[in-house]
Amino acid sequence: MADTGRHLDAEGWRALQRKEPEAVAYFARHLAAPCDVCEEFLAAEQEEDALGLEALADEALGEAAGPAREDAVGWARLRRRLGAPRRAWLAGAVAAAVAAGLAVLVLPQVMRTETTPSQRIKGTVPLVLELAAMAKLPNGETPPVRDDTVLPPEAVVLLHYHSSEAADALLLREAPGLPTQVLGRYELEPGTNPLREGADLAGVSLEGEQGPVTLVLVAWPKGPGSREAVEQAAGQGAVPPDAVRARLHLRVDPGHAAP
Amino acid sequence: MTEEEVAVCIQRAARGEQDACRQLYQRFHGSVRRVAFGFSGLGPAEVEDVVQETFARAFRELPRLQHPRAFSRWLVTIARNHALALSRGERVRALAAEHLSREVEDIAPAVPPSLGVERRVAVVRALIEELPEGPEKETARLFYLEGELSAREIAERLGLGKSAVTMRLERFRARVKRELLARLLAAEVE
Repeated sequence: MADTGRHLDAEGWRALQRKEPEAVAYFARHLAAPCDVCEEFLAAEQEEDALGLEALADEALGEAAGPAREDAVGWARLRRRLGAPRRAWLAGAVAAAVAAGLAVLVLPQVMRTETTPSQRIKGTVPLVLELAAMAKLPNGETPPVRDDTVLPPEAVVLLHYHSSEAADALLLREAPGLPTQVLGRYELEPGTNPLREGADLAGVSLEGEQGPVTLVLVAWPKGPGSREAVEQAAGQGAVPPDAVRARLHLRVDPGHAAP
Repeated sequence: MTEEEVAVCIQRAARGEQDACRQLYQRFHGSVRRVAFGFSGLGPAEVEDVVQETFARAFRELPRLQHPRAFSRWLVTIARNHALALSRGERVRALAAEHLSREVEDIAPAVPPSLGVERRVAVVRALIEELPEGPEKETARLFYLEGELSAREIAERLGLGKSAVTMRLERFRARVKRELLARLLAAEVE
């Protein structure tokens, strides 16, 4: 590579792919300054790119503009292509209307909780966790959902929780004969609130479901070890027997129009 | 999202957790879309197809990805190959299909510290800044720094043909590649 006037061509490119020391040393120096001839060569797609140069460039060029706006439509379209069970997010006016509906849904008969003794530290008040829900139906109605409600697969279940204190939580889905699936991680605030992911209302789409489905909110009082407990349970894909949890049992029936 | 958070998200997404897939989609759809937008032969619907196909394939094959740090580079590689396959002739389509079949293994995970993504982004911005004021700089600025317009839309805004905008973008991208290659090779020499 003694030719100091040499520019990138197919031969030089192959030498770089093989990381031949002379070629590497020469082009490291040569390409440090703008070179129209070499840039013209680099503008063309090369069949071999062991250095991963195309990806290095595309990644940097794609990041230069900073974070992109949230793309709810694109994600919703992609989500439909991914496997069931599917999550759903409502944003904007629809979310506001549904959240308003959920706010008046805090009725004892639709709240479910299961507390376990191991969560109770002696001398402290145990975490109280309750779960309520309503369904968003294709016709726009949003009826309350109680235990054992039958829903069509087109419904989206929107959850509302009551927590006696701040907690780290996991939402799981159980169905007979299927592994427990993690649907999401949440930070619960004290009081009664809709389950949210950022600005969106989090929900569970029943698309592709049939038969009994149980949604389980599992929580640990916020503090040392609570996030680790969430991650451990998520990793195991199981509802830990010692956690505070609230369950909602549903049945999905494709022939069912509305609760 | 920090690099660590992205790595955790990738692990969760590989287990099929959809909230993790959603976070990754929202974090990276802009970069993937920018790759597709650079192909002026692609219309808006085809650009969306590239984005959809890229993420669908990535999430399907995520368990095969051994290095979370390579995720973003892997995504843009898939996107470029899909965009190429959609926009070019038979020979390039065949080549893109071949690349698609082996891209998971091909992405080199090791990048020298001098070529971390933040450093490379700084290189891109500096190269745009160094361009003399004029249509070349305006095209690169609109496309890569504002990041909202496609090559087609920039052509309309600047009153140019699509090919003129594509040529400018390709020329600028080649300049970025030259600068990055020089740094990559310099790191090899050191």
